[in-house]
Amino acid sequence: MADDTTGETKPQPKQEGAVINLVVKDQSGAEVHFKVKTHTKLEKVINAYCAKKSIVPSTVRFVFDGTRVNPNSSPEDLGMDDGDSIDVFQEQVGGRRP
Amino acid sequence: MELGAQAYQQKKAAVEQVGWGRGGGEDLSLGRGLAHAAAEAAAAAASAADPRAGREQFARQISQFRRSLEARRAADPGARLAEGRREVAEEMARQAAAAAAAAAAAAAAAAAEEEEEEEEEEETSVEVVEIEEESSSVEIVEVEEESSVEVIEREEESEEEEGEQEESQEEFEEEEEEEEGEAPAPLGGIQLIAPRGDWQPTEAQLRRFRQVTKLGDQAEVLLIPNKGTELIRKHFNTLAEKQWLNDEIINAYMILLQVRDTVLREAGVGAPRCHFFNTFFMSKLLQLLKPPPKQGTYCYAEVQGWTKTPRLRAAGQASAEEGLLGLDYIIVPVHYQSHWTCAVVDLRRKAIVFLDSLDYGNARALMALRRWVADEARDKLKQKWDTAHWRVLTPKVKLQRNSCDCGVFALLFANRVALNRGFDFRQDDVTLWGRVRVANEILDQKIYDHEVGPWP
Repeated sequence: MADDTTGETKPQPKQEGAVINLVVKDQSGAEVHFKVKTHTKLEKVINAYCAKKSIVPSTVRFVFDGTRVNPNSSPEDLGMDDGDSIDVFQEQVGGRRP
Repeated sequence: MELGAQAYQQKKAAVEQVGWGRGGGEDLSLGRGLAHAAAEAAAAAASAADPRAGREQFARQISQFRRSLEARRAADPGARLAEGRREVAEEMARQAAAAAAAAAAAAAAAAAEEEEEEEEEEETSVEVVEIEEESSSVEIVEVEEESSVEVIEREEESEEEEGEQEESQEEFEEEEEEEEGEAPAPLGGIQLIAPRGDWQPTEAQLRRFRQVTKLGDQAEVLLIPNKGTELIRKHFNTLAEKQWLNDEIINAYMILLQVRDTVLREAGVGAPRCHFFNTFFMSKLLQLLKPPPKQGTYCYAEVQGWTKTPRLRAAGQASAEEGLLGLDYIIVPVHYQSHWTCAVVDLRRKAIVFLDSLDYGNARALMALRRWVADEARDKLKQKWDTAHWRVLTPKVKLQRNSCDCGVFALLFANRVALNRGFDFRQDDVTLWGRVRVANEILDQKIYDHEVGPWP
């Protein structure tokens, strides 16, 4: 889990090109592991995941500890650490109880 | 032969659509989509007879029909909205019926063609086109006129329904009387219904709403917000009348409410200090999307990281360093079994309040929130909070009178609670105007209301 100190107040940025492992978990418990550089846009992870699972990106939501993962942000922007996991949620719609 | 088989297929599809159209009359939440589908089927069926003429004919009719609806709306919006939910619903039904009738006409034409085609081939197909153009256009007009008569009749007939509505209105009033004498505890069980506010949108807002909610390229990006992810037409389409809101719209609105919270705090107007979670919080806390046996079971660890300072900061919480438990309200949009509701943790008065526009209840979510407060106190404050005695309240705010608007209600509940204001809207305001308001607020990236209510 991310420490409080790993947010924006991080003393020095991680080494340029440092590689971390990220786990993308869907709600059925299936996991896909990614190795990414900390400054790589997470769009790459999202696209790779959707391609692997054959899903349309607009039907799923990627959430890191409550924060919606913006495709343009990097693991560094979100303060992700090695081994952190991203949740994949399905689209939710509602009008009433069926 | 080949043409005959094709016509048969088209007819079959059209007949199926007609069947759906009828269903649409009953289940009005589908009215809009069905009307569209039926119209498409009609056009397809027509095109089997003569691809170009048929399609053009039906496109003309549908657009003519839409124009007449729009004209009627523009001519007298006040009256129409005063008529309320039923009027709108009937309009949808009428649209679906007209489209279905068109599909039926087309199917009949296709069938006629199919039969005749066995004897003569080329000549009959020409003939059929003529018949179709004349008869079906007349039919559409007839359907429209008939059904508008029907509306009037039905209004008289539906006294039963109206009676029901009045009854529940009385319920509210009764409650008001009952509760008035009680100690002031805003969310603690007093009536939350306030006098109706002004929800009528401007012409420009309405136009803008129509633009983003009309059908079109679903992947078209309509908004790149300052915070959060881009919103595409697909998401805005869920704000169209009768449609079910999706999580993107709810979450986009929660972000805006958090922004307003910061603005209010800076203004120092005494508004409650709030935190707004997104729709995934409850799903995660209750592991709702996991397979059994974990599904539906409480798990604090799932959201433990959500309330750490950097994450709260990322969520736009103005006092991220202090955590959440010193705030006034924590507002949680809840999605459960296709129903949107709004849960509120009232930290000052030690209560969990559930705002459910249909009054179905969701005890599990409320118990989970209560437990979460205790776990959060233990984890972040290193304190032992005995929340088992906190009250769990489900005030009567059953304002929804249809089966599609709960998402809008949940957003407006959250909006008003955060201002310490009562719920100054009714179903009639929400049906269209509430949706117009929400769509415009998202497009403008700001909540319009900043006036704080009278609650202590």
